[in-house]
Formats: sequence, structure tokens, C-alpha cells
Amino acid sequence: MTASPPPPWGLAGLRTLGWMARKELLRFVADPAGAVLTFLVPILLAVLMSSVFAPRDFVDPLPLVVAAVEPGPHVRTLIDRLDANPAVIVRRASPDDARAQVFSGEAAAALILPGDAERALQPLSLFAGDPVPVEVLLDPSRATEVDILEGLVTREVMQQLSAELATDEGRTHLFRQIGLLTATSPGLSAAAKARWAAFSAAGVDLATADAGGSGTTASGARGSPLDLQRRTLDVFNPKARWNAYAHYFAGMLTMSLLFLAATAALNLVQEREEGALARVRMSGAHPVLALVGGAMGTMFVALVTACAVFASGVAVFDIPVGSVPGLLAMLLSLSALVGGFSLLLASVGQTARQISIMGPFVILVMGFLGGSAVPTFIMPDYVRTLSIFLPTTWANEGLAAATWRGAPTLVCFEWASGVLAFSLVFGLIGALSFRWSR
Amino acid sequence: MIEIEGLVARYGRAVAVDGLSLHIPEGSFFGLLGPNGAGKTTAISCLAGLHPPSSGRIRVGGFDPVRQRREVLDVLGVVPQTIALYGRLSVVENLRVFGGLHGLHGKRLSERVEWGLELSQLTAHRTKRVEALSGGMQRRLNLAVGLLHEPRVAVCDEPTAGVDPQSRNHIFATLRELHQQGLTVVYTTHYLEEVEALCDRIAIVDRGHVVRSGPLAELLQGRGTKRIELLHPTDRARVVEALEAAGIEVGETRGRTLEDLMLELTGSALRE
Repeated sequence: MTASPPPPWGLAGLRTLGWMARKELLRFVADPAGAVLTFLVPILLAVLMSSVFAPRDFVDPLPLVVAAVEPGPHVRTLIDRLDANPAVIVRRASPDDARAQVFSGEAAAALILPGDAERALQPLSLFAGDPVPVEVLLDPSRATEVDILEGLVTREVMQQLSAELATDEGRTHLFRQIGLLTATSPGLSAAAKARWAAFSAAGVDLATADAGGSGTTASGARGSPLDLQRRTLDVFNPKARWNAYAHYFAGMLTMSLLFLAATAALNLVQEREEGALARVRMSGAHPVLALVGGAMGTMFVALVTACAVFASGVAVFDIPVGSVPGLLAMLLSLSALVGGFSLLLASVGQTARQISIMGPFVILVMGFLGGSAVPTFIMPDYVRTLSIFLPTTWANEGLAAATWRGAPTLVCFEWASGVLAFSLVFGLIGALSFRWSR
Repeated sequence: MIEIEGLVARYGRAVAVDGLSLHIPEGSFFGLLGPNGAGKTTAISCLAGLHPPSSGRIRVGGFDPVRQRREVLDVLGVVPQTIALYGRLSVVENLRVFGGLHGLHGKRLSERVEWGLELSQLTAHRTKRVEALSGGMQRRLNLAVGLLHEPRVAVCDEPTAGVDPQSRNHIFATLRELHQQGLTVVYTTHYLEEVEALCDRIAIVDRGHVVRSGPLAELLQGRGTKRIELLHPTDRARVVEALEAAGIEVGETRGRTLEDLMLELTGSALRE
């Protein structure tokens, strides 16, 4: 009697489910290294990402250069207050030095406090006079950091003024200044001047009599007396403005192309497992040339993709291109990176499964740390320093230089050479250490 | 055409080929037999220069596969055991890619591609993806790709595994025809009747070395025993009875096959 297929319900159905599940588990453990990676990769990724993108206590203080033209006591107090804030590292410098530090990327921004700042930081400025313009010099790519810094500066200014108003001396000084101001104001009538003089005297008496002080500011107070005015600086182009489309087109393209490389590595390992690679070798092809030739095919696909992506970015989203040859050099070197990375991954991964786990892990780490996805300023300093050893950092910075930064072509070539160097090293290691048979 | 002397090949500590010696004359149809793990595929890999021998000497058409790999691969065409093709490429694309890798180009490449399509009887399927072909079609293409560069020796490693009788016959006919045109064929298979039907010389390999080799007819003669061929097999019982009555010991009462010989030489124990 021949066995008939089990019905899809009841115990027989459960057995089917059980056997299929068992088969899948057996397949899972059949590649022990792949199985270990399955568990290890999410743990590593979680540990790495949480240590890099950690909560506030992991965020490094933001570097701020402060240049005061005429540093009076109130300006010095403000600088000291900023210095005492754990979220900021204050570097005192001359205006020229401050500018240079922002140019070189050592500082996110520079605060240039003019001579009027001393007057603006006195309590009277809350009630009278125009806000004093204060230049905030920044690198366009670090606008998010400057948002935070501006908030911190404004908070410190207001707290400093509040603190001064909370003292008897401060209030006495304020009322005296109100008396002086109104007495000399040409727009006021004699009667009004008399009323203001009486108000000033009463205020001074009250401030002197009330030793405790309420610490509240007078009603009708205005905003910060410092008017922070941003001025973007760029190494190459003073008119350069950070462009979100340019930034994210570069970042996402870099990551997508690395995923393309992972697919190419997977295909290569499958060709090895299916025997097609052995046949290639039996044709007499040089092993390294055969691998490099395959990688060149992938590079071509990557180049076409990269050009199409940036062409659409320029046409549809107005991504500015500073140097066309520079951008082409970057896209070319990025394509070479895809070829080199695919060979490296194929040589490191022993099986298709290992590559399918390892590839996304490496790409996500390189993409995040290289600034493809999130701003690098929220990372610890050591990560930012180490990221110079990642090709994604070079790719993203190079694409920024060629697009919105408007860097000269030669500078773009320098970034492209960096990416190309990574490609060559990856490709060389990959091609020389690739195993032709399992 | 192929000379192998004292070939030893290892995978790490495991010895796959252990002192193999073979002489395969030019123009022969040579059967290489042996159970799984006997070392046949490793020996082929050594011939093609894919696996470096630990010791021993190999010459293919007078060339050393290690030092003169390019020359050896011009002489040698290998038809691997697996369907070593690019599944997502079409039939004609596979032929063009592998032909190109063998150094064919231009008009010559086009001619050889057409020859390959004709040989594999896949002209009508030239634009089909290989992965969409039947097993028999893939095997035929596998054979054509191995012979595309007009080698003088074809090493066919189980070229008919898993194919239908029609494709098998087609592969036999193709190899016979090419052999008649002067191609030396080295043929490995587990289907022993194929060897009996095709090969004029054989070598039986076990545990990495040759346990018997020579012309097929001689080997099937046996060793010092007499073979009686019955014209009328239905008389077998009476003949045996008569022989035994005459004091002659009768060992076997059926015709000896190559399978008998191989099992006698290599044993019937299952191999890894």
C-alpha cells in the first residue's frame, strides 16, 4: 500500500509544521559560524550603537570659541558662565583666531562679542535700547550644533541678568540707570521726567531697604539683549549653505552602494559553491584578474547608479554642484569602493549566510559612524577621530566638498584619492585572500 | 596524452590521491572508475591545475599543469560534475562568456558558439536563461561549454548524472563522434554500463590509487579463469550439471560484467 499525502489539518498537519520547522532549525545549525553570527551581530550592533548614540551623559561638550572685542566685567562674567556649563567647552580667542578655528573645523561656532555687549549684558537692556547684534560664525554643516549653542548662550545671558537683578546692588544700579536715562531723554516732557525721577528714587530706596530681594525681573521685560546673528563660514566658499538633499543623497547613496557590494559578494560565494568559479579558473583565467573583472562589472553598475542618483538630485532637488569633475571623481572612486568592498566581504565571509549577516552589520556601522545617516557631532570624540579610518567618512566628506561646499576640483580629487586608496586596499586584500574552493 | 606518475594530493591532512599512476594514450576513450571518495575528482582537479599536487608528476599533452597551466588548459577540456554555468545568463551568453575566457573572440567565437548550440541541440533555446532549462538541457550545455575551445582531451566527470535517456544518448553519441574525430576522452561515471558501452581502456581507482587498469576487453577476461559463453542461455543448468559431472568446478553461472569486476576489486562496503 502506498503512502498517501497527509491531510493539511489535524495531527498530520501539525507533523508537517513540525518537520518543516525542524528542517529549518537543522539548516540553521548546519553552518555553526553563521549561527553564532546571527546571535552576535545584533548584540554587537546594539552595543556599538548605544555606546555611540548614547543619552546625554555620553554627548561630548560642544566646542565654542568666544572672542570679546572689549571684555568688560559683564562680558567676562558671561564667558565664565559659559565656561562653567558642562555642555560647552569655551575657548577664548581673538576674532581672527576664532574665525580660523571655525574654518578648520576645530570649533562648531564662534561667538564674536562686540564692544556694545558690555552694555547689553546690564539689566537696563531688558527695558531699554535695541538688542546688540552678536556675530555667530559657523560651519554650514554644523548648524544643528549651533542651534544648541545659541540656546545655551541665550539661557546664560538671561540667567546672568536675572541673577544681577536678584541682588540689591543690581536693582539699585538698575533704578539709578533708569533715572539717568529718563532724565536725559529728549522725548520726555518735564513732568514725565519728574515722575520717572521719583520712580527711580523710590526704586533705589526699595532695593536698599529690601535686603532679601524677590529675584523677579520687572514686568514688561523683553527678550535677550543680544541679537545672535549667524554668519556661515566655509573653507572653500563663503556663500556655501548646508544642503540637506546634498547631504542625505550622499549618505544614502554611499550606504546603498555598499549594500550592492554585499550582494555582489554573495553572488561570488554562490558561484563558488555552484562550481561556476572553478570553470572560470579552468578557462585559464588568472585568478586575480577573474575576480577583479567581476568586481569591475559591479563597479560599472555602481557608477551608473551613482550618476543617476546625483543627476536626479541635481535636476529635481537643486543639489548644488561645486565642481563637476570633482563630483565625477568622487562617484568614480565610490564605485571603485563598491568593487573593492565586495571582494573583501567575499573573502572574509566563508558562506553565503555569513555574508548575508556580516554585510549589513559592517555597512550599518560604517554608514552610521561615517555620517551617512546621523550628524557626527552627537558621537563621542574618539569615534569622530576613528571615523577617519572609514571609507564612508571620506565618501561623505568628499561628496559634500564637491556639492554644497563648492570646494575646488583639486580638493575633491584629494577626497576621491582617499576613497580610492580604501578601494585598492580592500580589493587587494580581497583578491589575494579569496578562497577558490570551500 | 596524459601521464601521471606517483601523484599524491591532500586536503589538509586528508590524503585524497595516494600515489596514483596512469597512462592515457592519445585517441583513447578512457574510463576512470571508482567508488565515491576514490580520488577521481581530485585527480581531475590536479590535471586542470586547480589543486596543487603534494608530490608526483603530471603531464598533459607534454605540459606540466602547475608550470604550464595555460598550455594544459588549451589541450584539456573539463566537463565538471556540477552544472557549472551561470544560471541567470542565457544559453548563448554562457557560451560567449566561457568562450571569451578561453581566448576565443570575433568570428571564431561566434562560430564556436553556434557549434556549441548545435552540439547541445539548444539552438531553439539560445536566449533562455540556463536556470529555466531542464536538467538534461543543462547537462548538454555543460558538455558544450567544456569543449568550446576545441581541446584535444575531454575530461568528463559524470557528464550524464541525473539526465533523461534521450539526453544521455545524445551525450554518448556526441562523445563517440568527437572521439572518432580524434578527441581523447577521459570519462568518469558511476553508471558502469556507460563505460562498457563507450570506453576502450579503463582504470579502477580506489583509496587514491589505481587498483587495475588496461584495455576493457582484457580486464573482463578475468585472471586465469576460463569463460564459457553460452549461445543458448536456457541450457545453462544442463551445461553446469555436465561440467560438474566432469569434475569441473563452476564458479559463476552468469556473464561477468564490469560491475562485477569493480566490486571484486574495490569491495562492496559503503564509502563515505
